[in-house]
Amino acid sequence: MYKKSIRGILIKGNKTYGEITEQVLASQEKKAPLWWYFAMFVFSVMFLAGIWAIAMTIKEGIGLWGNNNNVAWGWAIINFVWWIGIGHAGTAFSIFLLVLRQRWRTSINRAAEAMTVFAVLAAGLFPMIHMGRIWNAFFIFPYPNTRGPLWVNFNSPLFWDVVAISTYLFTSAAFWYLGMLPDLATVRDRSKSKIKRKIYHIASFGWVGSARSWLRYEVTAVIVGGVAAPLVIAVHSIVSMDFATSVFPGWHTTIFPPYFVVGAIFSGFAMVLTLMIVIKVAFKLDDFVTEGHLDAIGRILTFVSLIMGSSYATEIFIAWYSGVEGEMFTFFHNRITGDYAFQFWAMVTCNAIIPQLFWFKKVRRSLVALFIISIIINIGMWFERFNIVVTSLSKDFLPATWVEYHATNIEILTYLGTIGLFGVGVLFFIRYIPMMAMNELKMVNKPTSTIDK
Amino acid sequence: MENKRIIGVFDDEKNLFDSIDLVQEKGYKISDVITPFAIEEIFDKLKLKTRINIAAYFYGAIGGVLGIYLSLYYMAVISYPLNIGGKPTLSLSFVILIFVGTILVVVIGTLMTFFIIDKKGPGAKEHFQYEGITDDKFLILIEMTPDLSAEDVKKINAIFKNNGALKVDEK
Repeated sequence: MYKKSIRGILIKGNKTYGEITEQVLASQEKKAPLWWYFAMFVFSVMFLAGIWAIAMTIKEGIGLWGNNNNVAWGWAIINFVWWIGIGHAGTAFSIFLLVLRQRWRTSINRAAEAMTVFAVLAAGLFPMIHMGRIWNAFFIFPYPNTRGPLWVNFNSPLFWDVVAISTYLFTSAAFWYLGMLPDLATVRDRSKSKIKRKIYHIASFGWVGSARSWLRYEVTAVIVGGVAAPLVIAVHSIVSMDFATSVFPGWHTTIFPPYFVVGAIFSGFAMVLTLMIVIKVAFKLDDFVTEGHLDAIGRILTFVSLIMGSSYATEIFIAWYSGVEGEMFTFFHNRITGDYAFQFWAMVTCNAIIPQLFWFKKVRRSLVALFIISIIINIGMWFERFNIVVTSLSKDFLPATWVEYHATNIEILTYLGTIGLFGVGVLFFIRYIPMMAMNELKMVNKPTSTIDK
Repeated sequence: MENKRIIGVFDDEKNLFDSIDLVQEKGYKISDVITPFAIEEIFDKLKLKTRINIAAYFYGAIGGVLGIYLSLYYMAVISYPLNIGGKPTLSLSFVILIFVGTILVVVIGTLMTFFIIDKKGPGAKEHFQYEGITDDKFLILIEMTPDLSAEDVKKINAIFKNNGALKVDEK
């Protein structure tokens, strides 16, 4: 049945269906390795530090942050956009490749979707604490109230953000869980302990796998996936409008929506790459995550990196071409040179220049190089958000109000805390949930990967 | 009480397809096929159809576009018209909220429909259990209705056995 295709073999080792189940679940049926506990400890400590910082912020107020009159959006919004960006890959990855019928998504989509859910959770935290009075956060939802009723401003991108991000969180979590049902049923049927069986019985929603269920399941998955694909683009376009609908130089550009969406996919794919390399190495799942898979992600990153580079160039060109003094100042004297030159050049180097190494097959095939570059990309994407948020705000039209912005320890700890939240989530995921979509792996196994005996 | 069922257990799709074809040729009714992953050929062979997609369309069209549009109209135009620099209260920018809201309605509606018609939910009972069905076994179930004679059962057994069934069982 096997014919050579452009992707090569997706699952190595000419496996039977039983072997796929066996090998994907192997690490979860054993005791957790020592490094898992160690990583759990480190991330939990970070998470707790974050909780402490957030508690302090709520107790004392936003004054504990480095924000000031001009730079009202500091690290909180940088981190918010950064996490949302990372959160985009999961669904983007899984859904775009589903719609494009790319079979190599099967071994990666589950982890990517899990990552999305935790990243969006981490992201959602920032605007909430940034509001200052978190106990009034529910005011942002439109509901009949005793204040008029006073509704929210439906023309504000900030409100669109609330709607879009909560929709996105719900949709990606639902899509993730829906895809998981058959695999949770597999875990249920394999588990020997009564308690574990009971838990997975509840979690798997009574899944059996009859043909009628499969048909309904497939149709539901395609519909949810299909409507989530435009949602992915909508969410980050709306995030970009938080900036683009203002009148600050460096912010009010029409390039922002596509530029943010592409940036989100860029950082998300990089994070998927980081995570898949960790899973591949830690659980020895080389047969499922082959060089071919990582190579494909590398190619996408090269392409996206080129788009990022041209976006940066376009922004700068338009700033010069418009002849607006404010724009000229922001781009040429506050980004390329000036106080924030380091952050600007870090962004360009990390996002537009270093990923070009992926043109070389040797780099795409080297685990170490892939891992390092994937992390560099995420650092670069953080600097990009820093550039956008801080440079435009710190020096605006009135030189008398120019200020500098420095993050305080509380802000740094909050950020570390969200990394801890993400890490703890991912660690629980790789321990208790089948980390690859086994049923989908089985689906692509025969047509792509086995040789008739 | 439910009827017993004849169960043909396979471990290969090709044998499964052949058996389904032969059983259907002989005129026996297959009550269910259980597989560890989705196989489109089986949907065709059993002539299964679903209308979830049609339902989803209506959720989007009625619930999403109309529901969200009308509620926005109520909130922003009737209940509390905010004057923002003299701009129209019914703004074109609502398109964005209608777009995202429609997606939310479609997702919730479709998932609810799926879970309700397929009787799935936290703690729902598995309607059938057999060793290895979620791992690597493919099952054909044929209900033993009273009009199925002992000879028919034998014939079905023979079809399964001749087509590489691992085992033929009754449950």
